[in-house]
Amino acid sequence: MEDVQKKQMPKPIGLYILTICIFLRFAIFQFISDFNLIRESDSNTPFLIALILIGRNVLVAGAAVWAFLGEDWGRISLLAIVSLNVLWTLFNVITFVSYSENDQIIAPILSGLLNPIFWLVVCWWYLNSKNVLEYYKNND
Amino acid sequence: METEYKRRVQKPVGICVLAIAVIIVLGLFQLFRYWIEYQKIKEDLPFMMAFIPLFLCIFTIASAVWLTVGDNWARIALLIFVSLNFLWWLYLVVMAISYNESNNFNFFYPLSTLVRPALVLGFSWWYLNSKEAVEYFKSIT
Repeated sequence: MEDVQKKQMPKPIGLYILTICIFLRFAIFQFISDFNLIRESDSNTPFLIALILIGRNVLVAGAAVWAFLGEDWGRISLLAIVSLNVLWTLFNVITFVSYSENDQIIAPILSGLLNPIFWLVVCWWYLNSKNVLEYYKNND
Repeated sequence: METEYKRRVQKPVGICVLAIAVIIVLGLFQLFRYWIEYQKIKEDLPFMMAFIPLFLCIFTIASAVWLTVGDNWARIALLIFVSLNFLWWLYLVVMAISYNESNNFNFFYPLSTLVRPALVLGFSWWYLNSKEAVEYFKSIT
């Protein structure tokens, strides 16, 4: 009978970089900007919207830590939550641009979408790359 | 020299059932629902707000039709469009609930409109990632 031993793969260095970047961009910086948005808003922010804004940051933070630990479900949840996060931003921008009467503020708002879309593409590309998938499969 | 033949898997009946469910619930029915809801709006509807639902519903129907051909890319396209279609509707429901100004606003009506699309979304993700369906699409592609 052959003894099959799983070779423990070292954590890819890119995973450290990606999860830390996602944590900073979508959990910390986004939380600060969402918090300021709620505080500086002229009208009262509805409870459900505030819950979604804060909840998405907390969920990204959790998923980034989970993916960092090497769980395959952590990888999947990070992809799902970052995608939902970017979609929420995209839907908000579409609604804002649709109802905006001031054409001059549209360009900076649209350019503000580039950064989250860039991170979304990086996430999907890197977390589905061959060596990362191998690492997660090996860890399972 | 050995020649490998790909075993052709018969089309599972669930694919046709799913395609029909998607076309009816997230295609035609959803288009009708947007039309009904937009009739209630008194002011002019911005172009993007009218274009996005139309685009999503038409592409959902098209990808469901494509799915019946048995292409693996159709499976991926359907999952993407069904998810986007549902998420856009969910977004509108969240906004409607959050920013309503009426005192006698019925919360259950917008929430109830989410049930059928959510069921079809769940069925799509579950079925199109099941072993039977994945094996069929892999055998075709």
